[in-house]
Amino acid sequence: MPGSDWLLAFVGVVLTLMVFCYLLGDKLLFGIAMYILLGVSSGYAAIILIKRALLPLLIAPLMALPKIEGLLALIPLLLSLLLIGSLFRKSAKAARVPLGILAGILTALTIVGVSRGTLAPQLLSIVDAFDPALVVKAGMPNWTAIFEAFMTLTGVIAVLFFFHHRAKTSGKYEISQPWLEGLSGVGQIFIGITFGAVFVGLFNTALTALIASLERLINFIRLWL
Amino acid sequence: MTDQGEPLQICPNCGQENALQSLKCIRCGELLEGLFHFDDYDEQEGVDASGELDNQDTISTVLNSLDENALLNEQNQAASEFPEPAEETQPEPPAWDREQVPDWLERVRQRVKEEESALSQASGGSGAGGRQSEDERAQVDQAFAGMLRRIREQAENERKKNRPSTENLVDENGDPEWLRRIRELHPPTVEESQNLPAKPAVSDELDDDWTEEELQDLLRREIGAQYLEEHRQELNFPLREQPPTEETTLEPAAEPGVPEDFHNIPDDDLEEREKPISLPDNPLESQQVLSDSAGSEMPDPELAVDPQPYFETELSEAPADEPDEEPDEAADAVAVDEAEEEQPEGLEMQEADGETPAIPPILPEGTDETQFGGNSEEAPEPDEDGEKVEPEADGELVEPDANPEAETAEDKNGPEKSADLILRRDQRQRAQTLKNIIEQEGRRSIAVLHEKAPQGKLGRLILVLLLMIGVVTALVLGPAQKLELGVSPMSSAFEKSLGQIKSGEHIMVVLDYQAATSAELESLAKPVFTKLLAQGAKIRLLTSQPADVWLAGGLFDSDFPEEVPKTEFVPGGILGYLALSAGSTPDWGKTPIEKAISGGTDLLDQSGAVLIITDSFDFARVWLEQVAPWKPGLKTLVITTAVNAPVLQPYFASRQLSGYLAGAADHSGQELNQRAWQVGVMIMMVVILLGMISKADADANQREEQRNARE
Amino acid sequence: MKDRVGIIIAVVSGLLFLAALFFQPVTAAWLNLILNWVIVVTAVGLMVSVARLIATHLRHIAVGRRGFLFSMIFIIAFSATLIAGIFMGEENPEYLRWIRAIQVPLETALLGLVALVMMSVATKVFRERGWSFLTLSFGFSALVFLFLNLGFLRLNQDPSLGKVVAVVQGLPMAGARGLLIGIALGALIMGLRMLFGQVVEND
Repeated sequence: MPGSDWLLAFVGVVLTLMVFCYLLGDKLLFGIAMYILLGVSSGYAAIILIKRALLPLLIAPLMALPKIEGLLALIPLLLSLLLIGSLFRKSAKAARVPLGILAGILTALTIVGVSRGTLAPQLLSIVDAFDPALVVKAGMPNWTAIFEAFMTLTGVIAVLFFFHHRAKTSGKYEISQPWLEGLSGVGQIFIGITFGAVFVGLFNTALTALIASLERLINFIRLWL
Repeated sequence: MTDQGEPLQICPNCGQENALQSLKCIRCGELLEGLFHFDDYDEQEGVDASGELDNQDTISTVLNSLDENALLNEQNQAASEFPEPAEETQPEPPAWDREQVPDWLERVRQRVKEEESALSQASGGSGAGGRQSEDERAQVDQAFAGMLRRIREQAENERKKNRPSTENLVDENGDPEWLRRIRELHPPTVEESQNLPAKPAVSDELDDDWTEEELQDLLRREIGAQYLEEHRQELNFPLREQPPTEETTLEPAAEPGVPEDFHNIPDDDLEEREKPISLPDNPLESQQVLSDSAGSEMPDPELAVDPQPYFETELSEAPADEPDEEPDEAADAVAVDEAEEEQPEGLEMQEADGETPAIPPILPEGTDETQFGGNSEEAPEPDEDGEKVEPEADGELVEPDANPEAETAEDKNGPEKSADLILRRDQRQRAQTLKNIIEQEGRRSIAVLHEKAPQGKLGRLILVLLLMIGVVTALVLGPAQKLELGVSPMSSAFEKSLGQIKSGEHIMVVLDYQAATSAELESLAKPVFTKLLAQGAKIRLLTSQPADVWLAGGLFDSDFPEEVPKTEFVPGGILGYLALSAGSTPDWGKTPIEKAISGGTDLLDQSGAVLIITDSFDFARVWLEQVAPWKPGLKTLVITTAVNAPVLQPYFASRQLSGYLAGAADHSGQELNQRAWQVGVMIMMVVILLGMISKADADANQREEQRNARE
Repeated sequence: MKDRVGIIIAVVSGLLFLAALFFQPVTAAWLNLILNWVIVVTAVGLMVSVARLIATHLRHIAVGRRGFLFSMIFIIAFSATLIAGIFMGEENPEYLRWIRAIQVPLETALLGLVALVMMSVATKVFRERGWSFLTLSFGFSALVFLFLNLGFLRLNQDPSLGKVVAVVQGLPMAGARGLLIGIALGALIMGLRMLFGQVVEND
């Protein structure tokens, strides 16, 4: 194994052990590891932003002055300078302009994207589940498809109702009608199933990472054996 | 800082007094939420939910805990001999005063009532809650009074012992020993209590040290009674007599030149005083008066001033445990001598020698407290030989050797000053106590009654070690094997879509994952890229994450590094992709981002499919919301982690996704250490089962205990 | 008045961009241009936040605040990475190897810690949340999906069992769909309030 690879492997093992020190209650080594990670990732992100974002998108167009590309680049330059002013107390208020523009544009994007990319397709999908072409198979009812369609519809309604019910009754009064309680309970069941699946998925991902980390340690130890 | 009966809440766990605003007990750390009162809570109304009943029980429990509190136990006996200060009760005024209630006194009482009702409202209680807080406050006041009384007894005993030796001591400045001791106790840098702000600020208002003039005035009052009595004929100083019917109150008299509201008692103290500090003959009553008006500042009964017609030194002959004993009306030197023995420590320093008895630090009967507005700073200097000021019948203290005319005005302030100083000392002590309480906040000073079980941490550590040891053992023992699990419909669709990519077709691969999930995603992506390269597809890597610039190399088989395409950075995240998909090239030329990314706005049009490799559900969702609708004919495939599998299902069901691989177990071609994986999964199953079983067991035990308790 | 300037700017820019999106065939070029500006401002904003982070940690070091050791480590790591990237180039293979050797073990180990923490969470979820539909369904579904991940069923060899498992694996979709729709509705309402509701309040 080349010396540099050995050194890199050693660094990786040490850093892994520093992170696992958290389990023993150690805060110093864990903190050092975290701040190393923060520093390296921030530094690399800064260099990528400067070289791959700011230079080609802001600085390079300004070189084209007085062409129209250069003139148009003055606007983001002005907005950027106003944003940089947020670092200083006296000019902090000037940052409201670029931040307001960002907020407005992102809000508009959210409205369009959510309605077109999630709400409409998902609602249409619920309706499409009851498409006769799906629920009827060779002239006979496709009970599996029917069951899935009803389950989906019931689940969506119950989940939405559960959140609405909880928001309305939080700490103020209790609903006495049993059918509302039942529907809320059904919603809880569906949400619990989803949370259980997400929990297992997260554990799977984390377990994979844990196996990779421990494998790294074991492989490094095997180098010496 | 206020010396009023500031509402304190008692911890039901350990009995420690805590400030009303405290959320946790400063001793044991128990939450004090149950002690909070709610605005609309009214225990007079019927409760219709068990929660309110619990609140009532909690309040009752708190009050009961006050009775059981060790701190207050020893005071209960003494307190039982005193009438409990209730909200509406007042000590019976002296016979000569009962028929006359001045307007200002009424105003003071009214104001105190209003303040107390406001306090009870602030604590969130109903009238019953307010009464309870009043009771609690009174009990706390009594506790403090008892402590003060004990301190004074000790001081008196010590003073008696040391009295002969300090008779004629004078330091280099000519100040007598008693004055030096007073100064040692009270450094001259302290401001008067009259400078305290209306609203208490703990740290600031503790600085109520006395000035030199105040100390000297205090001395005169302490030692003046007996001394004046003894040396009355010698000194021949005038004793002013005031109408006995005049009640003493804290409100300043409407004297010319003196503003009506002028007083040197802090406003917060004034609010608490609902009754004048006129000391009836009965020391019990005198203490009652002072306790009700000054909050915790209940002076020693034995320090009650003897109701003499000319000067009042109501030195109670009774010790602390004999409060019923009434002072001798004759108020001769014997009574004074006896009272000397009961004086608190603070008064010890006020005596110059053993021959001069101390004046009790409370106002004698009939003391005109309206003259509290007098300047204690203008208190005349005591004589160097330690002559004391003899209080008058109404409690006014007059300098024995000073110019009677010159000191007349000052004499008016004497009794008020003494009461003022008394109050300040009590204020000081109470303030110090509360300061100590506040400083102790967060620190455990006694053993917690209900110690939290530390076994939980050990159990968690055992679980953690169990998982790590199991995984390590599996890694060490078994070689890596492929995990064979069922193929989900989504992964089947993914494989199918992948197989439809023709040779030479462009595949745009969008990367958006972190190094943490690189192990899982690389194990999924490597077989996919191998297959794509085998099919002759042209792969183009794009990313908006800085880390993916160097992570992308791990997606390809390291045996064929020349096949790894260069990763292009798209600035702006999803905005950059949106600009390339929704925008078009302006007439005046390409925009900067079009110049930075080759292909520009035709980027997506050139591709037959887009493969998103991400560990974030949000990125996949935003792509499907923002970018995909602008290119409806573009197939979207996703490789993601297992956690995103459930939440991507709706998008697959709505045909927005052509297929996806979620998790290392979702693809048959991936490589994973099967044994370690299975060990980890089995341990988690066992842990969840254990959690459910332990909860069921705990519930069963609780039911059993409840059943036994009922039986 | 202080807050109105930012709100008015946000509302106006949002409405204009919304109109540009709706009339995209006509405004596509302007969309491209505006998005370029937004990308630049976003990148500058990220740089500003990095600068603020640096300034904060430098202040901690200057003041000697407790924990300034960590701040020093951060500054050293950041400076070394930035300087090496400037001089060596961000695509230098050796440079990238070092970045990879530091970040991959750290982040992987952190995610591995999550698995260990989840073990302790799993023991407490029932004790703290009690018995309810939510917790019971959570517990049983977690057990089922974990069992499926064990790979004991050999689903490839039994198609009928595979169908059953497919149905079971499709159960979370109902809840996920409800969650997605709920979140989307909330985001939509928030955005609309931002663009229209705020204007009404200010008037």
